Amino acid sequence: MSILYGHLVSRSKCIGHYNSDMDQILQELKKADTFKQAFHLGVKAGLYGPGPVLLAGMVGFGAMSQGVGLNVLQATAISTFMYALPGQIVFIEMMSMGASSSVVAIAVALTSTRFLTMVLTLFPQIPKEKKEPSRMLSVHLVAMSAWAYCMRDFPKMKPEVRYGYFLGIGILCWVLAIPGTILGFVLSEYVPIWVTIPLVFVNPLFFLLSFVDVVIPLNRIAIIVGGIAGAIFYQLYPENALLISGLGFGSLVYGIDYFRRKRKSSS
Amino acid sequence: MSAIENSVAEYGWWAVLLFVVLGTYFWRGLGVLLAGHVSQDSEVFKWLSAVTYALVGALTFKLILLPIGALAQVPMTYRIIVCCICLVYITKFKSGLSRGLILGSLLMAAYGLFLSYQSS
Repeated sequence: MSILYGHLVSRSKCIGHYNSDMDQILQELKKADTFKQAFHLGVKAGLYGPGPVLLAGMVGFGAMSQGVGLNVLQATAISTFMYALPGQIVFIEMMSMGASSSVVAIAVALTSTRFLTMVLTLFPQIPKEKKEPSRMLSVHLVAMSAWAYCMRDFPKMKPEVRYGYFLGIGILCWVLAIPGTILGFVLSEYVPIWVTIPLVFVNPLFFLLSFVDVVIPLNRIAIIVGGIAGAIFYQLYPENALLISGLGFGSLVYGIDYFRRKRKSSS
Repeated sequence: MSAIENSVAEYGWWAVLLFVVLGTYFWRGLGVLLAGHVSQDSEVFKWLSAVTYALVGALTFKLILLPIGALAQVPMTYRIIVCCICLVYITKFKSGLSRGLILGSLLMAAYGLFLSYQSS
C-alpha cells in the first residue's frame, strides 16, 4: 500500500500540468515519425500520467466488489470487459441493491453515453491508413485516462503517428486495470480497516473532484440536481434510484434549459 | 426487455455482465461509425450529457452519503468534511486532482486508525 501511495505522490505532479518527465516526452513526440516510436512514447506517457490514477481507481473498485460479495474472477471480468469505472460501480451497486437486470442494463448504458462524445472528438483527429489496427477494437481503450491525454497532446504531434500514441497510452491503462482490480480485491480481504476505508473511498472522491473541471452550466446543474435526487430516492426506491435521478432528473434539467434558451432566442 | 430477464434467469450474473458490457461498448462502437458524420452541438448530445452527469452525480452523492460496507463505519459528518477539504484544496490551491485524492485517502486512513485504536 505504501508503495502505491509513494508512487502516487511522486507522480502527482504530472496530472493537470506538465512536469519535467512529461516535458521530455512531449519534446520527443514532436520529433516522432514512426508508429513504433509514438507507441513507446504513449506507453511512457501513460506510466507518468493517467496510469497511477487509473490504477488507484481500479484498486478501489476491486475493494468495493469484495465488499459487495463478488468473487475475484467476476471483479476482474468487469474491469477488463467494461473498462469504465462509473459504469462498473453502477453495475455492482445496483446488483447488490437487487435491481432487476433490465434496469441495471439501462442505467449502465446511460452512464456510458459520454464515450460517444469522447470518440467523436478524438477519432477524427487520427488520419485513416489502409493498414491499421481495427478501430472497432481499439475503441475499447477510449476512457477518460487515455482520452484526456490524447486530446491534449494530439495537436502537438504529426497526424500520422497519433494512432500509435493513442494505442500506447490506451493499452497500458487497460492492462493496468487487471492487476489493479485483483490487488484491491485481495488487499481488502486481508488488510486492516484503516486501509480498506481509503480504498473504497477513492472512487467517489475521484468522481467528486473531477466535477470541478465540468465547465458547462447545464452539466453542473445536472450533477447537483441528480446528486440530491439520488440521495433522496435511494432511501425511497433503492433499486431504481439511479435511473430515476439520471434519466428523470437529468432530462428535467435539460428540458428546463431547452425552454429557457428557446424563450431567450425568441424574445 | 424480457429477453434480458429470460437469459438472466437461465445464465445468472454472467448474463447481466454480458448485457452491461454490450451497453458500454455500444457507445464506443457507435462513435467509430459516426465519427466525422455528426455535429456534436445537436440537442441530442446536450440531453445525453445532462443525463450522464445527473447519473454520475447521483452515484457519487449516494456513495458518499449512503455508503455500504467499510465506509459506513465513518460518520457522515466526517465524510462530508473530508470531501469539502479536498474540494477546497484542489480549487483554491490549484493542486492537481491526484493530490486531492491522496489527501482524502490519508484523512480517511487517519479515521480508520482512530477506529482500530478505539476497538483495541
